[in-house]
Amino acid sequence: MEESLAGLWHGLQIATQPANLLWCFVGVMVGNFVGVLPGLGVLSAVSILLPLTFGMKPVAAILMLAGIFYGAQYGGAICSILLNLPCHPPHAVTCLDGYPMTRQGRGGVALGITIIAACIGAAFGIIEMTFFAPIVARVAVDFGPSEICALMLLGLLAGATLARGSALKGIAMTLFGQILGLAGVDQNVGVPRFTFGIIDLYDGVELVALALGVFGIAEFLKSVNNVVSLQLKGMRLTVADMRPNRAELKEAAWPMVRGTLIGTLCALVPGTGPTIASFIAYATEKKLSKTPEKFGTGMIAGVASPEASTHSSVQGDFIPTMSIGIPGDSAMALLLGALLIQGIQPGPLLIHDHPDIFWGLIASFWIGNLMLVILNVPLIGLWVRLLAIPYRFLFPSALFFVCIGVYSARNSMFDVGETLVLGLFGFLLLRLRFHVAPILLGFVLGPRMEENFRNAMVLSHGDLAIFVQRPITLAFVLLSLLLILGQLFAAWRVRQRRHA
Amino acid sequence: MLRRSDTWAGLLCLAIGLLTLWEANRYSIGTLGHMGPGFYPAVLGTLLAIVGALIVLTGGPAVDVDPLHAVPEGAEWRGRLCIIGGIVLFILLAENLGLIAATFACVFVAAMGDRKATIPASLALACAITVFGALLFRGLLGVNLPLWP
Amino acid sequence: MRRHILCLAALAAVAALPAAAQTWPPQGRPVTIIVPYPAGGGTDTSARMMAAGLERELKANFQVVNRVGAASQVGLSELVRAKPDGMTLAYMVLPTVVTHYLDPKRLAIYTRANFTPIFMHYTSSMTLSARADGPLKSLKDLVEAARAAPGKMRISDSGLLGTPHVEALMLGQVAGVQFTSVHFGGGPPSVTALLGGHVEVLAGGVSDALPHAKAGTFRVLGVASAEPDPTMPEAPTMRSQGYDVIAASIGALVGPAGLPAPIVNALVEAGRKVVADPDHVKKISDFGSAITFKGPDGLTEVWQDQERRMKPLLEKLEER
Repeated sequence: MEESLAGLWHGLQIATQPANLLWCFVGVMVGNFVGVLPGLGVLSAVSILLPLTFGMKPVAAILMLAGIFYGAQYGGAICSILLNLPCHPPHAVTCLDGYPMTRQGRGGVALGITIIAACIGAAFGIIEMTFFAPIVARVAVDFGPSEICALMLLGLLAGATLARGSALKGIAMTLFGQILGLAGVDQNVGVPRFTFGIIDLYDGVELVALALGVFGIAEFLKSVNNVVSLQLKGMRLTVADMRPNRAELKEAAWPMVRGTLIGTLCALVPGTGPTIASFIAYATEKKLSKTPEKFGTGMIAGVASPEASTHSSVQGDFIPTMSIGIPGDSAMALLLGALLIQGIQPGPLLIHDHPDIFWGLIASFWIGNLMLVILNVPLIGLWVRLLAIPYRFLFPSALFFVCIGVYSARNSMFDVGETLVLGLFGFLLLRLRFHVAPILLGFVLGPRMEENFRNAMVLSHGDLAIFVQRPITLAFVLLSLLLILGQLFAAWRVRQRRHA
Repeated sequence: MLRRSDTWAGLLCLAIGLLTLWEANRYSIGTLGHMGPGFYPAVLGTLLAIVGALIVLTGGPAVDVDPLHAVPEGAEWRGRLCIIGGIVLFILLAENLGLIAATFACVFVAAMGDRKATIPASLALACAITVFGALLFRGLLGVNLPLWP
Repeated sequence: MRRHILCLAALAAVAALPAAAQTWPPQGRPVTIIVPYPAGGGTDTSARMMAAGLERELKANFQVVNRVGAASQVGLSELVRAKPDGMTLAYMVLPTVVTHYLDPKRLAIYTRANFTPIFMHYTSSMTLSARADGPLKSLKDLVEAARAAPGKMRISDSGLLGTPHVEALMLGQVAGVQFTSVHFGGGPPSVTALLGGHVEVLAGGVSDALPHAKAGTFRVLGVASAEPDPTMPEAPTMRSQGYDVIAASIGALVGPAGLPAPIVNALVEAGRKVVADPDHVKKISDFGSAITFKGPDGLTEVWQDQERRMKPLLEKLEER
């Protein structure tokens, strides 16, 4: 404890050096900005800025690149809420209640809530990294394939009821998302599956293309010439009006706490990033709510919880990356690459060998998040004013941003075509009164469940008992069973009542 | 009307499920200890087909009248075709004729999709976005597309 | 008629090529180097450092473009479709490329004949590691344990037919024992698997094992190279323990087939000067790789050797 505080103090001295402050600011600015643009994720932003770091000092380089990560999360929710355009996959689920809030003229409030959620989520994530990084890292490696598989199962079951309306159709969409996730070279056997001979599909369907297709393009196809014009007169536009009132804050408080905890848990599980965290947080909130039927109509909890979980998960993802050198995803791997370029070996010895980097980074998290809050609060008013632009100017511009954003994610024109096809299909699904959100959930969780189920089976030499022998796995399996039984019981009660 | 749409929805799921099952058939199923590449697809296809059949059979209660997510029934072909056309033009032009031509075509065609659109207004919007896009993506972000041929 | 056109086309090509070679590298237009792996990884960084060096030596503009996908198959397919005018080159990694065309299921549109080898840049050796607090002290322990209980020894790797998996297969073959390979999606989760004790052994690159070996949690059982790795000199090679396993990822610069010899020569000369820079050598070694520069003939030789080694392994896997 004392050691951590001393480290933090040391880090603050490093992070507040003018040059480091400046680079931290550059990082969070670029991140924030890129987060607003569709498709251009953290990965492309970091790749763009990486060459710049070659001539920089190690601490400055890492502070700046890290700033992009959490900075992007601040920008990511804006288009989800205002335009139903999930520019950044972790914030796709924020569309579900954020966009309805905008339609009700409460878009500013929703954005305000995301900033508060960001503060709470990030603060918790940073505290966790400051004091518990070594413990957390040790627990993280205990999550083997069977644990991850069981957790994914739990997420899928909880998520099938993510959307409004018919449960059957929700389940169908989760399954459909998993089927989309099948495409690509099967990592265990090396066979290309569901690729129809197209090598661009060997790595599977692109998540960004899917999110922007089924939410973004499908939304444009639906709304063109059909959009009910927003009641701008009734909309609150000044900064003071962006502030959520007391009742709204109260409504958001517990969901934020729960979201934060879920985000932390997901950061623990290797390779379970913010996207999965935000979906699970939303599903949990809906399960716990007294009025689950109101989710999807602009519930504050449906914005607060996933947003908090995204931020705490992003901060938490730094723990395994920095303290044992295991990056959670490809963007985090880039960060380790940047360290290597600087001649610094990431790994379990990093805290010991390079305390200035580890503690400087943690201190910069506090500073960077503070900068982002100061930067974003006045910006809310500006973003909301975007809505004052007539839709006939807005959608062609957004369409272009989607095209170029998807392209530059992988330098691939094929992905743009993929977005169009998925968008057309998403539109068909919307016409058939499906909700598209569970597709994303199935798409994200399904392949990881299959992979980990298979690896668990290989590890146990084909013995299913692995799912009941390991305590964490067993806990997740039991929770899943409970969820199924609860669902069946609820269905049975409805039927009883109907007969009575 | 809604009932009919749920029938179609169920049939679509049934069809996707069966197609998945059919494609899964090409890969080996394996055993539980060593699952083949066809195992999981077969499971998913079967489940989706069953769920699709259930949707058709139950018809589904028509609860889903949500003004926000509902798609208006009216045919809006001009707008939709223009959106599709805009994306297709971007795909065709960007790598061959460069970012400027692609952006201009994409935005102009999409903008013409709106019923209230006029040619001058759409031209102005397309010009503005082209300049902005070229500066932002080529100048600042260094996207790997040529500006012109 | 058709023959005439073909003749004309051939003539035009012959006439155009020397002219192209003379004006190469051109001023203004950048030469594109396709890197078929994500930015920031080992291959990408090595390629970028080489590109910067080539810019300096050849006084021309070299631009690195990441075309990621299908374990480099997407980017390399793009290369072999490009015109052999020296404006499009690519980095490739052996033996990964070999697995693309030796495995008919991958439907690769190329074989070795579709490339012009330019030069071999660096080599990163593979290692096998076990937990330092575990019972496995040497490669012999591992082989004996696998012999006593076939399939009980579990080895994590970064994915099917990635170089680490190839290493484990090779050891199984020369020692005549059977391991259970567990394929994780990428290097990091395979390292986690050993850290968490979910497997007995990790197959991975030097850079995967090094930090944990330094921290005292892993013991490197063997390095799959001819000489001990400079970054971990105390770790014994597999050869020195009696198992002839050489497994390494080799990064090389290639062009599409038919690249004119003058362009190749210019690139080789420039590349040779780049790798003579001590700073370059140091940077490459930070990524767990070593400079192993060879010209087109040397690269072809290594390439053919890789094909010879990979064929039986792939045939064995066909039983899947």
